[in-house]
Amino acid sequence: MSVERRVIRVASQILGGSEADLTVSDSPETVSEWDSLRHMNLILGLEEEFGVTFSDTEMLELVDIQSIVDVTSQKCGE
Amino acid sequence: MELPSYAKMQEEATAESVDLPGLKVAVLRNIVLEPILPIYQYCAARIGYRAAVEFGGYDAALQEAIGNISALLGPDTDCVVVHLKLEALSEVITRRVSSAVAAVVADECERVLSYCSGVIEGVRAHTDALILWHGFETPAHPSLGILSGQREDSETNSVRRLNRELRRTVKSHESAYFVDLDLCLARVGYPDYYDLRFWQRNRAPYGLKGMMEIAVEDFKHIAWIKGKHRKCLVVDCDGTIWGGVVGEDGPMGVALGDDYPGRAYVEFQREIVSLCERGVLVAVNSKNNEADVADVFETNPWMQLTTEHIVSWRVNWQDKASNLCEIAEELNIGLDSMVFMDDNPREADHVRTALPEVEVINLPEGKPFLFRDLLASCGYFDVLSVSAEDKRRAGMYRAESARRRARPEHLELGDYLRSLEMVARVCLVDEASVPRVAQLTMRTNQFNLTTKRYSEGDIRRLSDADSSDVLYLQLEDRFGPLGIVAVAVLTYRGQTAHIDSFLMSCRVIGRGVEEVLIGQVVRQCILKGCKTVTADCVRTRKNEIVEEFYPSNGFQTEWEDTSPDGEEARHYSCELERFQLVGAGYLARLVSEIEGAVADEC
Repeated sequence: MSVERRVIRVASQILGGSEADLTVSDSPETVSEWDSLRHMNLILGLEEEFGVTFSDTEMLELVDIQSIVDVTSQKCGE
Repeated sequence: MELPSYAKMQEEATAESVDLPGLKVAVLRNIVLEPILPIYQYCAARIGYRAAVEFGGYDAALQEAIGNISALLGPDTDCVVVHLKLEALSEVITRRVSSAVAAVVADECERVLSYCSGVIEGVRAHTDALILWHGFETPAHPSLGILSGQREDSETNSVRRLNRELRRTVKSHESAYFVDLDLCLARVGYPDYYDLRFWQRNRAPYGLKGMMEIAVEDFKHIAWIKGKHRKCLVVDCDGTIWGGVVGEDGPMGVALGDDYPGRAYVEFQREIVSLCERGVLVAVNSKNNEADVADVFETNPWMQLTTEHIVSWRVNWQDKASNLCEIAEELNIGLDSMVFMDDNPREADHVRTALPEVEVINLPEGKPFLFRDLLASCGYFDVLSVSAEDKRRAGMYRAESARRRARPEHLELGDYLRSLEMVARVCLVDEASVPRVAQLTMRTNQFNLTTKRYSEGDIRRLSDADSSDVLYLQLEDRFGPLGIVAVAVLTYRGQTAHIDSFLMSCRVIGRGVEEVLIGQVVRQCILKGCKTVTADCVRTRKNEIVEEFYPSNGFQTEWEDTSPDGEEARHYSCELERFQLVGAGYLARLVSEIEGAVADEC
C-alpha cells in the first residue's frame, strides 16, 4: 500500500470519518475533529504505523495530509 | 494482553461499543493525558463496557476533588483515576535537589502528601467510585546519578518514601488502590515509556507504549471490580505443560526436569499451581490417549500439577473447541470465564474463531522460557482479594463432580435430597464472611431477584447500619462443604421490612435452599418488630428462574412496572403473621443464628 493510502487510513481512524472522505488537501482547518489533542494522537498513530520518530523540525512541517505524506515518504526512503 | 495498533483501537472503540453498558471514568491529573483515551475505550470494550472518559481541569486535581468543579464525581461515576506527575507537583524534589537543603525537601514531601490526602479525601466525599491512584515513577536518570540512591533527601529516595506513604493512605480508603507505575516503566523500558518531545512541548509525558501499559494495568483493576476477571484456565499438554509429545516420548521422555527445556516447563507448571491455589480452576484439553496423559501425571516426578489440581479433563481426539464447551458445561461456568493456552497456532486460531468469548493465548512454540511470564502478565486472572473459599475452590469442584456421579438416574427427588445429608447455617454477616458475600452479589446472575452488585465496603455498611441487615446461608452435604451459597439483604423502615437482595449460587439450585433462607429472613423481620415484608423482582435476561419465587412463597403481587431500561419489575408484599415457615425443608439439620430461632431444627 502506498504511503499516501496508509497515511489516509491512519488519519481516518484517528480523526473519525471514512477513508473516502479524507484527501491530501485536508488539514486542521478543514476537519473539525482535528484539534491539537487529536493532532498529538495522529502523530502517535503515524509513528507506530511507519515505525518512525519525527524530529522537532519535521513535526513543524506536518500541517496537512499532503505534507504528512511528503515528510513520511522521505523518512521511509521513498 | 495483545493490543492492536493505536489507530485501530481508536477506530474499534468508537465503532463497536454502542450497545454496551456505560463505564464512567473521571481522570484527575496535572499533566496532559488525553492521548490515553482511545486505549481506555478499547480496554473497556474488551471487558464489555462503553467507556465515557472525562478529564478534569489541567493541574486542578485538588479543586476537582474538593470542589467537584467539573462535576465529574458523583454517584454514577464508576472509576476515578488520579494521575499526578511529581515533576509538575514539586520542582524542589524533582529538579532542584542539589541546591535544596534536607529540611526543605522534607517539608516539600509533607506538602505533597498533604495535597494528595486532600485529593483522595475530596474524591471520597463526592463518590464511592473505584479510585485508582497512580504512583510516582522512580527517576531513571536522577540528577545526582549514583549518589541519588544513597542520599536520604535525593529525588530517588523522596519518591520511594512518598510512594510508601501514599500506599498506606490509599489503602486506608475503601475501594481505593495504589497502581505501581514503576512496574509499567520496568516492563516497557524508559525510552519507550516516556516521550520527551511531547513532555517538553505539551506536558504530555508518555509515549504510546507507556500509555498502553498503564491503561492495561488500570483495567486489570476495573475488570476485577466489575467481576469480569476470568476463573478457569484450560491448558493443552504436549508443548504446553511439558515439552515433546507423550505419545511418542513416553511419560518419562517428555521435557520436564532440572535441565533445559524441562526447567522452563516446570516453572510454568508452578505458575499454574499458584493460580490454582488462589481459586482459579484448571482444566486439561489435549489431543492424546487418556492413558498416556494420566501416565505423566501419575509417574513423572517433575510434574508440579497433580490430579488434585485439575477439575476437568478432556483428553481425546475430538476437536478442542467442543471440548471447551463440554468443560464449561461440566463446571457450570460461561465460556467468557475461560482462558485457553496452547502452543499450536492452528489449534489456537480454531478456538478463537469457533469460540470468540474464550480468551486464547497462543504460546510461542519452542520458547517455553516465555510461558511463565505470559501467564503471569496476561492479567485475566488478576484479583484484588482472595477469600478462604477461593483457596478451597478446586477441592469443592472435585466434590461437586463426585456429587454428580453419585446422583442416581431415577430416584425420587425428595429421597435424593435427604440422602445428601445437608446441613445449613444461617447467620448475620460477620467480618470473615464479607469477601465471599460481596463476591456472590457480584457474580450471581441466575437465581438473583434484583441483581444488585455490592462491594465489600457496601456489605460492611449494610451490615453495620441499624436500618439494614445482611444474612447468609452456608451449606455442606455428605461430600463436603459448599461454602456460603445464598445471601439476603434486608432494610427496615418502621414496621415494614424490605428484601433489597435475595440471591443464591446456581450450584445449589433445586435443593430447596431458597425456601430455608426466606424462612430465616422472615424470622429476622419478626425479630425486628416488623409486621409486613416487601420485596422486588427485577427481571433480566438471565434470571428467568426466579419469576415465581415470591408468589410461590406466599407473597402478594402489589404492582408491576417497566423501567426506562426496559426492565420488568414486580413489587410484592406479605403480612408476616400469615407467612408459612418451611423450616428445615430437605435439610438434615438447620443451625440458625437468628435470635429467637430454635437451634437444630429438623
